[in-house]
Amino acid sequence: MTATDDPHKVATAGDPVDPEAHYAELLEDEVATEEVGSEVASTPPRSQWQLFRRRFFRHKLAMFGLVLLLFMCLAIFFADVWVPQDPNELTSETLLTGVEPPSGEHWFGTDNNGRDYFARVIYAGQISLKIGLGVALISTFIGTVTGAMAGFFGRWIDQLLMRITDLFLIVPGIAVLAVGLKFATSPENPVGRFVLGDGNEPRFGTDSIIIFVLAMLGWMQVARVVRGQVLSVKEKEFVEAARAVGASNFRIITRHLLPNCIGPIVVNATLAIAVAIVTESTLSFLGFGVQPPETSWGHMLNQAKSNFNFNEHLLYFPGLFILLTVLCVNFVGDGLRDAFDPQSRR
Amino acid sequence: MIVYVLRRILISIPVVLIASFLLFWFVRETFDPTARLRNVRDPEVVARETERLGLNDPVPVQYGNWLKEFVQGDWGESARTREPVADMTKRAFWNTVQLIFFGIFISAIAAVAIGVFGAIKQYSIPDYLLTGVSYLAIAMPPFWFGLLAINVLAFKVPEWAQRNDISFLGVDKRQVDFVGLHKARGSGVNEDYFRHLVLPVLTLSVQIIGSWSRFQRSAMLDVMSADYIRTARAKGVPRRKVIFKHGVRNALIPLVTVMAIDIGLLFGGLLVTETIFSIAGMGRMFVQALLQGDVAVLEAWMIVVAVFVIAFNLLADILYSVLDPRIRLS
Amino acid sequence: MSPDLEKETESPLDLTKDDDATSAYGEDLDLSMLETSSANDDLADGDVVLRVRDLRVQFPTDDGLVTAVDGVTFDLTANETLGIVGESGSGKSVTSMAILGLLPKNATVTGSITFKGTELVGMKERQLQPLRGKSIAMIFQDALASLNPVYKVGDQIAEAIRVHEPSLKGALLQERVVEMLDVVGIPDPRNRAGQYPHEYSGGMRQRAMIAMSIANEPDVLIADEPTTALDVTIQAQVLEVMERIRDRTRSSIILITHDLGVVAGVADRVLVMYAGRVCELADVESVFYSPAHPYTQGLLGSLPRLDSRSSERLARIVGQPPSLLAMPSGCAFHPRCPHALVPGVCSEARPELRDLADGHRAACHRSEEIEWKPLEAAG
Repeated sequence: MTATDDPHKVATAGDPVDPEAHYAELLEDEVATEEVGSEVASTPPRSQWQLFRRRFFRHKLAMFGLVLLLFMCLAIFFADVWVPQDPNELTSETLLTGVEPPSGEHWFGTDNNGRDYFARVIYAGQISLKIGLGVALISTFIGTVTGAMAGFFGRWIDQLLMRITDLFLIVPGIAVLAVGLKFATSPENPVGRFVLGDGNEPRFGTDSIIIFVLAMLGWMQVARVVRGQVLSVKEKEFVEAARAVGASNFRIITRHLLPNCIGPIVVNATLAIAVAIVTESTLSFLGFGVQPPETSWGHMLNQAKSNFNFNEHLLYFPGLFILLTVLCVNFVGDGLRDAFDPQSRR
Repeated sequence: MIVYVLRRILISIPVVLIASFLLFWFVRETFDPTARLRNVRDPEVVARETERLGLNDPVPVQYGNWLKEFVQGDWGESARTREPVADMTKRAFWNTVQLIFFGIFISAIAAVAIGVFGAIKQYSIPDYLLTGVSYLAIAMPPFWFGLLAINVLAFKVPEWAQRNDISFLGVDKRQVDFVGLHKARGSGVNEDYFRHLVLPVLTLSVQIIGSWSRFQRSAMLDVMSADYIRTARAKGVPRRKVIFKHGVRNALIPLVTVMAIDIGLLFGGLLVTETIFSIAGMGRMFVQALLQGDVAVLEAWMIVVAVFVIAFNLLADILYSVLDPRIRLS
Repeated sequence: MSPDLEKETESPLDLTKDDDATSAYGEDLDLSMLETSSANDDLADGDVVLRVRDLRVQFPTDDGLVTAVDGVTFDLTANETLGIVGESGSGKSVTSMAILGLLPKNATVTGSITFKGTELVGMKERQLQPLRGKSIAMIFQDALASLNPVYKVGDQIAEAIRVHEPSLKGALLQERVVEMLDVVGIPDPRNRAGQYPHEYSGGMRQRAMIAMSIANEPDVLIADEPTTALDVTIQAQVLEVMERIRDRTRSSIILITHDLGVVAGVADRVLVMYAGRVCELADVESVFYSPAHPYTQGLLGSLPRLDSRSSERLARIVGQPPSLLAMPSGCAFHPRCPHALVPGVCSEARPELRDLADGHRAACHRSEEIEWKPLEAAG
């Protein structure tokens, strides 16, 4: 029976009639193009990176947060360019003016010494943001390296890491940090003496000290997370395969393990920025953090706490900025988390 | 199980000892108790005081001396107030416990309710609202919220009510207090007590609820997409029962452990809340002691806090094994 | 499993942590305790229990609307076993979940599913609940994930019973639970009832699920890949349990699987699905000895046979199943079909499911013309 016998079908010259031949053709096609018949359109292949980008940019909150964050960072770090008032200048005029609520001239009002509060908030932001970013970066770096090594090499390195982190988790983190800050700024010990320098000029500003102490005590959290990730990835078969092919430890870590852990690491690093900002502001509020003459948002709130019921603007604005920054960072962090692993729900 | 508990306790002891030693050392290296004297008194007095405080001995020896006394019940005196540390600590602890008790009670109920609701009615308007609020709750620095709460509830609201002549439900008077747990010379559990509790408990709850409810919601979502939920539905189990008997029961497992650990940390962690509301609890005790280098107080604080952190971590593990029959403590 | 092989009746070294090996084998399952329920008495062989007409299920996805099930039509009669066969993604599971209304909320279900005359499509959750687990029951693939890990197995079976018979409690309920476990061949059922799912072996868990599903003597039992997660020897045992229960309780069974061997041993009729559509629907002999649809033919041709020469390569179906987001025009199978020769027909017009011989239906334009070399029966 040939195709031409069937009244419903029209055969054209040159078409194969034999099913076996057609089958063979199909096989050839498949081998040649690695796709079944060009008539079947399949969804275009996407690389990991493209998928990630698509998911991230799709996340409306994350986008909003990112944009706002970038805008704030630019505005704050380039304050010299556009903020007319001096946040620190004390003149007899300002001292006479004293505290004032927001007005057209002073958008955020003035502080106790008559200084423009808006300018102060913006410039204080430089310190707060710097600390947030610095702590996140350094603690992530140290934590990733140690956590990866502990997870990968195991045994005593791992045990050591776990014992150290246990030690510092036995009391609430804020307490540990407060002690650390006090220690690092005290002239009674060599570390503090080094930090404070000799003479009048301190060798390091309080912001650098804070970054250092927070990072030194904060990397442990990161290390724990990274260690956990490495442990779970280590068990996967492709690692075994790489080892069987003779890959060196270094290569396995850098080419196989870390790229697979990168998701949680990045997400945690982002969220660490927010945590660092809040932690610094809390410590400054309690008196352990940023010291005058420098100021941060938390420090400004410390100053505000005594007389806020008549001068709420002193209270609202620094806190609002902290809130906004942390919110945006959290949005971005969540967006990253969704983009890396769509299975984890909001 | 007893063996497991004992073993955990045994392992923790060295950790606590090492940590307390480190703390001792750091504090000694940070503060000089005779500093105030140096300017005022002549060197002989200073030398005598130094000797009296044992400051000439090497730090490990000083630590050993302190430890010896401590385990025998002599917790020393506060360098700041000369008050026996044991009494101070007991009082402070009791105050903190009250805050924790009420805070956790409210937070746990609210967080579970919000989390379950959000998971069931996912993507509904209330869910978006609640999610948004929890984002805010987590992002807000707790001390700022506390100050705002005082500002608004204790001042602004009565002012606004007075200005507009509204006295409905006593809105024109200040209904909440924000200094300590009782009015001066007040005591006991009474209306005044609760008026003082409202703001601090609210402040400490906000962050906790924000974090726990998000956790609960995500745990619920994970659980509700599990196969055994599908089986329960396929058996004809009514929806409410599926959610609670099958869903929540499983979602609570990870949440309960997180809760236990968080509560453990609260015993020493309410630094901010107690400072803002002038509540003489463990947190405030720590802050004041650290500002002065009051080593005896700091050490006592650390030991007590560490004990509770360890205890609650242990509780978390025990609860986990109780709730999840797949896990048995070895 | 090739249909030409005898089913394995031995259970060699069973390395599982229980006595799967001794249970269903030396002893006869005591089925006397399973009474035929009165509900089944009014069904004679040949009565249609479940009637599915033009069932269509769609899901919205990020990349567009996916039609997971596209126009599925079949009847299920009393006391018959219908095997639904297809690859992953062919829509067979979605079809079965649609029957019980277990699809996620964003799924759009159209068409008709009538159970003993009652229309199930569009029924509210509340109305479906009395049917689920009682008139229509379902067994799932992964018994470990499908049983709640925090409740005892006995309690979960008891729940299945109590939901529909709330008056049954206490010792009587417990007796019923133990009976059910015994019926499916779980040894020491009284103690086993007090254990948790993770304490059972794979085969036992699956049998526990079966026990749970037949506890209320349903008219229809849907088994969604009940043996896929098990190894071959346990597979055989579980299938045997199902068969014997079926014989006794006179329920109809819908058995969903991708394994043709399973279907050959157990099913009366077979429904072959591809890309959400029905390819072929016929009794089991017709499907295996005279398949009418090229896809079915391809599946059968790709089965390894004991009597083939080792130098022969396995025939296979060229290519991949299509993405449900970008279905081919016309016949879904035509890009891979060795018989889709003539342009204009196979690639343009979607073939209807039409009758070929009595009861044998296929959705192919060219069924009558295609020659198929029948399988030679072994032995």
